Parts: sequence; C-alpha cells; structure tokens
Amino acid sequence: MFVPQTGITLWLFILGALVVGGGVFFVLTLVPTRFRKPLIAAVTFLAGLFFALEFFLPVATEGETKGQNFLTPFLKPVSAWTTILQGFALGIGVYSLVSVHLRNIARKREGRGFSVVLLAAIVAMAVPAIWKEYNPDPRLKGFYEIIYDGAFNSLNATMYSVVAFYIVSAAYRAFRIRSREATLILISAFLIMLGQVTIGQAITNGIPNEGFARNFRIENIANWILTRVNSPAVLAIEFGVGIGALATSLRIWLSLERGSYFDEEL
Amino acid sequence: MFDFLADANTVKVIKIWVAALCTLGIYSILYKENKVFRFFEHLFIGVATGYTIYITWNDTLKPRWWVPMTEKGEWWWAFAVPAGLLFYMIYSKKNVWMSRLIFGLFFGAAAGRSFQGFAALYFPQVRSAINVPLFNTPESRAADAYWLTPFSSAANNLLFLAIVVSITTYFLFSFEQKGKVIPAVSRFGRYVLMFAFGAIFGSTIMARMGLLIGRVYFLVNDWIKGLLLGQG
Amino acid sequence: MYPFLRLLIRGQRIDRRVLYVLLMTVVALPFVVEIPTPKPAISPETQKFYDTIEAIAADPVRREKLVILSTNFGAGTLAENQTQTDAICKHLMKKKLKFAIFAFVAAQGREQGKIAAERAATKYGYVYGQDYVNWGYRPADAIEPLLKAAVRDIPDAVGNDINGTPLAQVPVMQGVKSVNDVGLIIEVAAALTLPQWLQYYQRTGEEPIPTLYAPTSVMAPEGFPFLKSGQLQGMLFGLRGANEYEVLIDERDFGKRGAASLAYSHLLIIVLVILGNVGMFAQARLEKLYREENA
Repeated sequence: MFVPQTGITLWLFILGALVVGGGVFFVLTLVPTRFRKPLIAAVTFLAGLFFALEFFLPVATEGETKGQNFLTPFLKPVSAWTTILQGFALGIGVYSLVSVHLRNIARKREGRGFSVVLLAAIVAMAVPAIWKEYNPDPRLKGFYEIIYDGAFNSLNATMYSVVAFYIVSAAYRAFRIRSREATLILISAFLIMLGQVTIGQAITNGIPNEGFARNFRIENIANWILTRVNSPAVLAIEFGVGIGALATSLRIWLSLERGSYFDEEL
Repeated sequence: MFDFLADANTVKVIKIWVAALCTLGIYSILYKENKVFRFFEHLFIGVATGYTIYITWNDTLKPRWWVPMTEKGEWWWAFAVPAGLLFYMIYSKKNVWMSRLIFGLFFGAAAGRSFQGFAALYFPQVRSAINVPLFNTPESRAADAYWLTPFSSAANNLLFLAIVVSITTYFLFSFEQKGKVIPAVSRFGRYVLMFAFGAIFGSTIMARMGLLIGRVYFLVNDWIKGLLLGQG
Repeated sequence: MYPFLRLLIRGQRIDRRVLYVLLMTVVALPFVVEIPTPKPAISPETQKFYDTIEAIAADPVRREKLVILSTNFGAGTLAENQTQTDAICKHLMKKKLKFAIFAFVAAQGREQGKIAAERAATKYGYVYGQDYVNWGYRPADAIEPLLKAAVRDIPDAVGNDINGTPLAQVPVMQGVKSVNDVGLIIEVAAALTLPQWLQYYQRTGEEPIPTLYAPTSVMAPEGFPFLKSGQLQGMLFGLRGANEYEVLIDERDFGKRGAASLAYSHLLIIVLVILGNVGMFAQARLEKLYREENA
C-alpha cells in the first residue's frame, strides 16, 4: 500500500490521506473528557519510550545489524517526520504575530502604523526570498540582497550591539565594592578583561614566558582563572542543572509534572 | 522597470545606505524612546519573521515534504497535514486539548532522549573531575615544565576537586547546613563562585564590545569612508 | 579636603549619554586613526584548535573524512562568529579538507556560513559541490532525532543541500555515509548548540570524533569543562580567539582590526568602574567627616 504513485492516482491517494486524517481529527473531537488526559499521557509515554528503549536496549555485536537493535532502523523515518512537523509548527508564531497586528490595524489602535510596517516587512522579505528560488531574475536577487544584507543583518546586529552601551552604563553605576563577594567579582573581572586584550597583555610583556616568572604574566593569570577556577565552578553548576533537567524530563515523560499547563482542565 | 536592481554595484550602494539608516535608527534609542526606533524595531521583527518563513519552506518543508509528496509520489506525507494542524488547535477553545497530543509527543520524545543526553554530556566530565592525578601529572611531563610544575599541577588538580565539591555542597538545599564543616565548605564554594562569575562577566563584556565594534566598523569603514568620503 | 572629595563624588554621576558618546568614540577611533596593536599572546585553547586541524590534515586517513562546520549564529553575533568562521574556512581550504556547512538553531547560520565559504573559496580555488557543501538549515527541535538517524545514514537523514540537490548526488558527499566517515566537528555557536553534538553524535561511531568549539565570549567560559574532560579538543574564545587564530593561520582580517577597539573599550570600562567606586568611597568619607564635624 505504501508504494509511490504517479499521475492522477497520486492526487487521489493524497486526497484519500487527507480524508482519513480529517476523519481521525473528527474522531478525536468526539473523545470524552475523561479519556483525554490518559490519551495524552499515553502518547507522551510512547514517544519517550521509543527513544529510551532505543538507547538502553543492547545492540548486535556482529553481522549486518552490528551496532543496532530492532528499534534503530526506525530512527530515520522518526527523524524525517519530526523535521516536517517542526516545520508546520512555525505557523503558530507567525499566525499569532500577524493576528495581533491585524487586530491593531482593524481596531485603529495607537501604533497601528507600525503594525502596517511589520506586516509589510514580512511580505517584503518572504515573497522575494521564496520567489527567487523559482525565478532567476537578477532584479529579484538584488532586491532580496537589499532586504537581507541591508535591513535584516544590520538590524539584527545593531539590536545586539545596543546591549554594549547598557553594559557600560550598568557597570559604571552598579558595580560597587560593597562586600567581599563584590570585590572578588571585580578582581576576577578586571584580570580577565586585561588578560584578554593586547594592551592588557602588554603590561606584563616584560616578564619572561617560562619558568616560575610566567605565572605573573596577565594572560597566564587570566587563563588560570578560566581553567582552574571558572571551569570547575561551571562544571559543578552544569552538573546540578543537568540532574534537575533529568528529573524534570522523567516527570514530564511519566506525566507526573504539575503546573498551570499540566493541570489545565481538558 | 527596476533594472537598477540587477546592477551589483548599485545594489551594493543601496544596501550600505539601508544598513546605515537601520543602524542609526536603532541607535536612536540611546538618546531616548522615539518613533524612529519603534519603526525600525517593527521592521526588524517583520523581516526576521519573513526570513524564518522562507528558510522553513526552502530548507525543510519543500525538500522534505512537498517535493517527495508531489514529485516522487510519496503520498503518505499528506498525513503530515492533519498531524501538523494539531498544533493549531491551541486557537480552538473547544478542542485545545488536541494540541496537547502533539506537544506531548515532542515533550515525551525529548524526555526519552534525555537519558542518552545526560550520560553522554556529564559522565565524561564527572570522570575527569574525579580522576585528577596528583603524581606524574601530564603538565609535569610537558616540554615547558620546570622544578615547581609537579607541585603546582598537583595543587591545581586538588583545587579543581575542592572547588567542584564545595560548589556542589553550596547548592545542596534539601537539608539544613549546620555544624562547622559543611557551612565552611559551602562558604568557600560561594566565594569561588563569585570569582567564576567575575570571569563570566569579563567575558560578557568582550562579547558585547565585539558586537558593537562590528557595527562601528561598518559605519566608519563602509558607510562614512566608503560612500560619504568616496574612499571605498 | 572637601573640594577634592566633592570632585571625586562627581565622578560617579556622569550622564549615561556622555558614557555612550565616550564608548562610541573609543571604539571608532582606531578605525579612523591607525593605532598599532601588538600581536596577541596565543592562548592554549586556540593553539589546540589550530593543532587539531593541522593534525587531521597531516593524517592521510583522517584527512579524507568530512568536516562538519556547524554555523549556528545569526547577524547578531556577526563580529565574533563570522570572524571565527571566516578564519576556519580559510584554514580548512588551505589544508584542502572537505567540509559541510550546517545550521540548526540560527536559520541565518546557513547563509553566514555560505558567505564565509564563498569569500575564502575565491582565494583558495574551492568549488561548491566538489570541495564543500552546504546542508542548509533544519529546525532546532528536530535536530536530535536527525543526528541519531545521521549516525547510520547522513545523506538520508539530512536530505538535501541548500540548492535542493539530494546529498547522495553531491560529489563531495561521495563515500560519506555514516558517523565513521566524519573526521571533525566544528561548532560555531551563538547559542547552546554544542551539547547536541556531544550527546548524540560525537561518541556514536567506532572512535570519538574530535570536536572543536568557537562560541561567543559570553558562552566560552562554559566550554572549559568540556576541554578538561576531553570532549572538546580546542576552542576559540570569541573575538579574542579569532584574532589569535588569524595569527596562527597567518590570515589577519577583522580580528586584527577589532583588537585595538576591543582593548580601548575594555580600558574605558575599567576606568569608569574605578571612577564610580572612588566616588562611592569619597562620598562615604565625606559623610563621615560631616558626622564628625557635627558631633
């Protein structure tokens, strides 16, 4: 049955698949309330069980299926379906954004001019970008380049770079040595900042880079802080985060998680 | 019409002007909140969304779904449509629970993968943290080792272990930290944590400055020198 | 004493717009006036990054395998990540290693990787399809199943290149089937994308794949535990790392140009923080003097 089709048969099969899918959709709307949470829990568990079993089950040590267990061949279709379904998920964000701004325009709210700009920008970017894949017109490519390189890239980069100004202002106003901890942060930050730039490194350039003396070169001090102090600290923090994430994953997998989303009435 | 868009040099000039205006428009927020900034802010969100639509279609949906379904005859990909539509049930008051099916599928799948993820990511790190050599360390065998290296590398390794243990102790909240030893270890961990945060802060400064430098370089080199002064 | 203390106190009340202008000036000045900057000291992690690629290029077996260059960044971190990617592409092309560009978190990454490769390709005579390929972008939430599937069959798991050509038909992908045909992973990151490679790909073959990391400076401190554990073989520490790497491959570019601005902006921040703290201490001292006077 799952054989590639051609011509009119192909479109009939596609239509048939859509009808069957629509039928399943309709059946789902008829599911009684008391069966909904168990159904969701079952889907969640089975989805996780596949990957957990695929990881834990022993693999063959020789032969054609060396390094595989019986679930491994299913990774390819699962990957393909996941990729495509994630592609469909994009529309949620786009729909939300477009509907909010269309509502702004329809209800003549303040700032609706900016909503027009936003919607026009979506069209101005998406349409030429997709169209140029089908039409080799160099004018289309030129227009896309202006929107991508000129507008998108520069806006993106500038938005991130604005933070640099705020960091300077915040460091100047808020970075005060009021406690032991603040002093430690300041000393460490200064050493790292000086050790990473050429002018800071030039301060201790006169010290030979060998033997005991090299420990007093600022870039070596900065490197020591990063590898001997920062590294174990980050490791300890990340390990704690990892254990927490694993525990949360287990709770989600077994549908034990609580919270406004998980406790919602269905 | 619009034949100038086919000329690479003209497009380059327009690009630089557009980029310069966008950059200065965003930087206007540094003076105060204003309509120019809001215009460019909305423009940014719009083009970013448009780009995401293009990429998702061009790199994912078209080659992996549309072309196999319509040109290679793999009709079964049509089932992806009702499955994908489940996401959009969050907008239906009556059938919002159906969206939980597909979200649950992805949550469950991610949770199932977390075992492999945890093992692959953390086991080597824990192993390396515990297996710190105190004698005959790799640093003492290196070409640039000198008389103090065996002692300093052993001390560094001990310090590494001490820091990992003390910070892990600091984050133990499931019991009250009483007595002399555990609070002391915890306090040491806290101070070391501050030192590490300082290092992270120093690195963050460099990251943000790097981004600003990129923009300023464009304004000075490509726009002012290149276009306005004609030195490009 | 009082006027001096009052002067110091004013040092902590500079208007933020003056600070912004100062910062802009300090960053722009080296681009207007040529300021010679000393060569940077090469950090151990950058040296290891360079040495790993050199070692792979020198090994007749490993040099025939594919290098995956994962460019997970957008225009927001262009200064750091693009500089790193440019230098990496030049090094890979200098050493005649075949590579695949791939992005899965930042959709722009596939475009930025393409720009870096095309810029270097004109100098080193690299041809798209023959010497390198661009796998394009895949959604972030689908990357873990994709990597698991790519352990056995990369062309089938990834699908098509950026032009829509099935990977199996791209010349540079001939002979590249599974994880054992990948010789190196280089992750250029603006977000947390390294764990996916380490968790689902690096150690799934006959031998662990050497992995190199080029994050932004914000994320670089988090890469050191991976260096210590051996999960990473080298790292470029943001723009500083890119600058050092350019010295090693002898291709000075933006890393060098940005070095002076980076240095002076750091100095400005240090001066401002010291000024602010001196002002704070001066204020405390002045208040103490007033209290003693009035007591």
